[in-house]
Amino acid sequence: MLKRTNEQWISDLRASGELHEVAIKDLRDIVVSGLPAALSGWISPNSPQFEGLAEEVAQETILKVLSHLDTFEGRSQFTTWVYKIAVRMALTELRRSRWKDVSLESLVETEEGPASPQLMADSSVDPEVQTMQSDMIVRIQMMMKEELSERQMMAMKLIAIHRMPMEEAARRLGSERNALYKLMHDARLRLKHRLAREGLDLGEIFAVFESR
Amino acid sequence: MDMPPAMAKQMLNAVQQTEEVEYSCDDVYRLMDEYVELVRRGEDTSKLMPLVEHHLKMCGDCREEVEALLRMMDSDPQR
Repeated sequence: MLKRTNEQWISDLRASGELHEVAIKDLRDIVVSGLPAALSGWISPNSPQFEGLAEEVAQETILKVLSHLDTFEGRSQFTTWVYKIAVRMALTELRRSRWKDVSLESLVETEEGPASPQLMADSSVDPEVQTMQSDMIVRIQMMMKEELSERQMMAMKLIAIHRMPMEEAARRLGSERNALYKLMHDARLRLKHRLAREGLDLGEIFAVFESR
Repeated sequence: MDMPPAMAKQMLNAVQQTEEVEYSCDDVYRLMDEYVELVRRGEDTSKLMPLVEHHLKMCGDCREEVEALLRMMDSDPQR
């Protein structure tokens, strides 16, 4: 494959005829050949789904690259920029696929009913420490209830408790990942300010949870 | 909300690391290609791109994408 400079990539992709066709083919090849390494730990290249996914990601990446060519600022190698687009496409698909059988309702149902702080405390530790941990958890839960909106609470449940990816949680909540990050940032800030107002030192709180 | 101590610690840890101003996922995505090239060159990204570095501590999705991107670059024979 021809090694191109950034300028050559842009010029070839903007050209017509064979130059354009060859550049598109090379673009597809570099995406498809890089995906096994990029997605290692996510999906095996031997998996029956891999080939279809790689082809779909390559096609979508090419379309996005062509439609966003004007936005490439040349602050990295052109192929790094292309890889970034391909990785986002691939992981978005894989996250959606991993979570497709988990309904929001099933996650919310498991949260129904008031949780007992005694049950939540670490049962392997000294009963006195357990009580301290339970009291602290009740206090934290109270702060969360008072400081956070229902949407922030829901996002925190999905992301922090159920380990749902931000992108998938955003999709489920009818939002976008960027907006959800900002919502979570606001939630964390509110809690940080509240802890400061109450004079609660995080080091002391951590010490409570680390006590045995 | 069920909150075992480990979860409470994890959440408080995130609260502790929260900054007044943070980059969003879109901010980081715009810089991600530049960031990974700095990482591969062994540059001190905590000094050069501290807000990106901080966001990656807070956001699992972006962190996963940076890791995948680095693996993809490492596998590129033209680099």
